[in-house]
Amino acid sequence: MRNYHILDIGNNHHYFDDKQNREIMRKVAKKCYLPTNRLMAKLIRRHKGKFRVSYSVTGVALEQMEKYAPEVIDSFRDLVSTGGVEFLAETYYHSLCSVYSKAEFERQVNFHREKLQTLFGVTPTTFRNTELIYSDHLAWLVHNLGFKAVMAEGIDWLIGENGSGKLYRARGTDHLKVMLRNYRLSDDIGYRFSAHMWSEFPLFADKWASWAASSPGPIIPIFIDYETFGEHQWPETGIFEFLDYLPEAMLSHKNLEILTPSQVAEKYPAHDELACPSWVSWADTERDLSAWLGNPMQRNAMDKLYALESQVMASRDLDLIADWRKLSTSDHYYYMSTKYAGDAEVHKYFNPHHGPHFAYIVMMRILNDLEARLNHS
Amino acid sequence: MISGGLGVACHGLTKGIARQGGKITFVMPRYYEKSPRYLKIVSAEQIHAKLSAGQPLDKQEILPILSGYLRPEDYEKWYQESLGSGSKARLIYGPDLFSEMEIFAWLGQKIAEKGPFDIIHCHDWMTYKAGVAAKKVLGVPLVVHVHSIEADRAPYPNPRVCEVEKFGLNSADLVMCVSRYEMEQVMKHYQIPESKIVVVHNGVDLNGNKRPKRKTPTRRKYRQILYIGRITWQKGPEYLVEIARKMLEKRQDLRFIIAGWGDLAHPIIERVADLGLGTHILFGGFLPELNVKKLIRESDLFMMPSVSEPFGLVALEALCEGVPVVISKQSGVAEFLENVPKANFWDTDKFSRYSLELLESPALVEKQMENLWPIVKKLNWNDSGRICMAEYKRLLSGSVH
Repeated sequence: MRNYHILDIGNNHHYFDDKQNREIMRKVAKKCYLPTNRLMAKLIRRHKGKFRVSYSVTGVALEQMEKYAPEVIDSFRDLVSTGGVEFLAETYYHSLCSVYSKAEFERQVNFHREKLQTLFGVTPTTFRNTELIYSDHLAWLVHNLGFKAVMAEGIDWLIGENGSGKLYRARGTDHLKVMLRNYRLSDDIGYRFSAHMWSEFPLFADKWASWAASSPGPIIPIFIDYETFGEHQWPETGIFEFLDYLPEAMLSHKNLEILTPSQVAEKYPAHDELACPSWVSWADTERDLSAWLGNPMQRNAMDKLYALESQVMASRDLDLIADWRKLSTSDHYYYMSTKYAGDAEVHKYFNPHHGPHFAYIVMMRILNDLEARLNHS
Repeated sequence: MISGGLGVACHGLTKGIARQGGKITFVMPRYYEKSPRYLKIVSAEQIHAKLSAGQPLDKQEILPILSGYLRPEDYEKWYQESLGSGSKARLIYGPDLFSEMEIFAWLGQKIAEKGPFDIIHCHDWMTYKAGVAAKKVLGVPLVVHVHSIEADRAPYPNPRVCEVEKFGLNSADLVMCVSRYEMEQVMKHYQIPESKIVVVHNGVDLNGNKRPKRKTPTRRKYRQILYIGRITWQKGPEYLVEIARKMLEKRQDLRFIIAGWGDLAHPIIERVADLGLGTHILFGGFLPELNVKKLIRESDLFMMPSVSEPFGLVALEALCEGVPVVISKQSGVAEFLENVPKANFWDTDKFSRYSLELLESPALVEKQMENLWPIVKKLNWNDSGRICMAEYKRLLSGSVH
């Protein structure tokens, strides 16, 4: 979102900072997407299919790649051609529509499916929601759309400390399997890899592989930010060397094999039923929706956005609908968070605005303009 | 020079005095632009730099960090942040606003030594010590101009600021207040006798003599209500939010714009969000003068629910653009504008009722404008300048006021 001015309302309907989007996409493509994709393809080929990886890429990210860094799309095509890659489904706009609107959720998931089909000729069968947001309700939505498996966060209070080692069946569905992220082993790579204060620093691939080998199974769902490789963890930390050696280190343990989520869902039966009546996610300490809906500003903004949904859809104005959907991206609300302590650092790191209040007032100006457009159309 | 009402007021006032034949050397802590033709502006910052470098003072040039609205607490925060950002602030400015004021006072003395001057006229507390220092050097009358006092600005007045204000007001030969309201504040809070005070109103410079006809934007489906001012206790932003809430209960097609920023910006934004009114009450942030003018022209109503407003120049500016106003009784401008709807700042019911009436009745707006136009025309800077000059002359002729 750009710094939309109060006097822009009614005069200028351009809400997004294309220049910054382009710059960030170019930067991250160079630092992370291109080198990591290249390495992944090399690893899959080197291990003759025994190393596999699955990707969860939003529709918005794919759009930006096509526009600003098409070579990334090519490198994904190359990855698809190795046969060792699975793409997961999600909401096209990385939004919280699963919480607010069944109709919009289904539309956004279908758009994303179509996008993957068009770009890579693949049809996903496993779903992962925005920021691993999950509840029984989500399971029901996902089940209705015909998916076989879904990813969620392995929260201790939900499933116990070693609960993520099992595969679950979602409550209220016949056979939707739930894979819960092993956040400890995932965060060892994603967050702690280069933390000097960590007692296990430095982390080497064989050390991590031995932890994985002794971790209670039968499954260990690992799910990390892709930007871990080269962006959050710079090349100087040795993250690429770690990744390069990881498959070999893992495959040296007889009890480990590397599978994609669909393969796991196919191979293993559900062990237990998972009941999750309230919303959970992988964000912040709370692991709930409070990263996006934790304060009045965030709730006011998102309530207003979804209050406009039916009018936006009825307008049949494609530009307006596209703008509205881009405004549903969870990041805009994440920037409005007023949390303190450790989580605030993470919120701040990603925030392009001058703080949460500013992010909120700019969003409200934009929603005001969008509403005015509705009244004119 | 536009850093809120004080800058605008000094600009207008000096213009008015110059038109009466006064020759002015205007000393500001900092100034970057060129001096206007009628005024010689002296930058205390540059003079300080010269003096510290051992250079003699020659022709005075210029430079405003000392804004009349800067609170001692905010100054310290700003200073600390400047240190962190590695700016040159620490070379030029003192660690707190009071030492800054002392430096300015010392420079006031230095500039006075370059005299001669017939009158010293200083504006608000940060310049009082400089005024007194200059008076000591020159032995000429000191006029202290009150645009606001600490009791207007803060719910919990800073005692050190009050001390400086008391000192300045007591040392002055004459106190000028921007309204009767402010005169009473000065009398109440500092026991200054009425005989030592004159009222010099603020004003507006009009483009021509014709009453502006406002064109309501046609394609718009909402009515716009404007608040301009710092988001701070003095300006009553929380009352504005309450008035907005009450008005929105009556009709939904209203858009309120809060133009400005301040220490209460975050709590007020959160309050608006909590009420779920974020698309009805929009925040413009701090805006340059041109944008403010544009916003005024686009608005259907101007609202000023100030808790204590010594004058309230911006209400006059709105009237000059043909925009009707509703203002608080606790404002100086209220005493000049008889036919304007006024309410106590806490009376949000009345504020909301008056505002809705004006929005619903173009005839009422027309009547307000017609009644007010002759008064607005009279409130100009020439008139203020004339009063100043008359008072200067009286002071110089030694006659007791």
